[in-house]
Amino acid sequence: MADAKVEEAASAIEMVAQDQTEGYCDPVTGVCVWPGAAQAESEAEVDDSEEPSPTE
Amino acid sequence: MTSTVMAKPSTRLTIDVWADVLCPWRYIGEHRLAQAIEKSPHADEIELKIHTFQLDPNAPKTVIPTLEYLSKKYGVSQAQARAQEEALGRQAKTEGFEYKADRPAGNTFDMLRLIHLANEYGVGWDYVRAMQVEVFSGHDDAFEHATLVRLGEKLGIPAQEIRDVLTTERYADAVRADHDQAVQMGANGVPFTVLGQLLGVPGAVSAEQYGAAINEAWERING
Repeated sequence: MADAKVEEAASAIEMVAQDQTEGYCDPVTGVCVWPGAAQAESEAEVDDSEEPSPTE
Repeated sequence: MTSTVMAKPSTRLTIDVWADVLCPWRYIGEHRLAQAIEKSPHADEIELKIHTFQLDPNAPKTVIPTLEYLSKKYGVSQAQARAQEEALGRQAKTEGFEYKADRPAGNTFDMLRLIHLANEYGVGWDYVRAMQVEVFSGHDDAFEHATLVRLGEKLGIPAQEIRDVLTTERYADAVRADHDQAVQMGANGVPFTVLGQLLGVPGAVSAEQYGAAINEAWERING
């Protein structure tokens, strides 16, 4: 897609349900997170790391 | 004399999804999106298109256990990684599909190049699904060329074409272009779902929310 078309498409896209996401992978860092991680972490070994909750 | 009222022809709704084979949220989200489409009165007029988005270009070329990969990538213990993966597995099970913590992980660049080949045959979506089923079901040979050839052949892609891609750099530029396009379109979460080139849904949402987005996009296009 030509740059002009990309810019046109980007400006036309309206983000929806952003606050409804159950999990996503960050397109910049590749880090995947999910809101239920805290519960799962409590079942795992204790670790002081504040790294994002990984899935993949 | 009778008059005929011509119904306004509807415009098909295209749903574009950017994702990686290793993306757990694409795997989970796809089932929900499929449910939403199935329930939509416009299901027959919805077209799905898969685009690639490599999440970890630095992932190892050699396949390793996912828990080892996650532990190294995030600096967490394998027990932590297992707990979170098994929680996702339980969630997946309630939705009717398999998601194993003990599964292979590796670099997906070759897989993503093959998806571009599959798109030329109109089966890109199905190829991603087949690859993800292999990976998330815990099949250790999911990344092997023989497996990728077998999966592709089942979908009607000539084996020689698949091997040709795997032994060359074909579609490497297409993978990079897809990535750049998603970034330029404002993708702030993967999978990144765009409905009718109007609405963007970052990450995985519930089937109901996908359904609402489909309805809204349909109304904007055909309302």
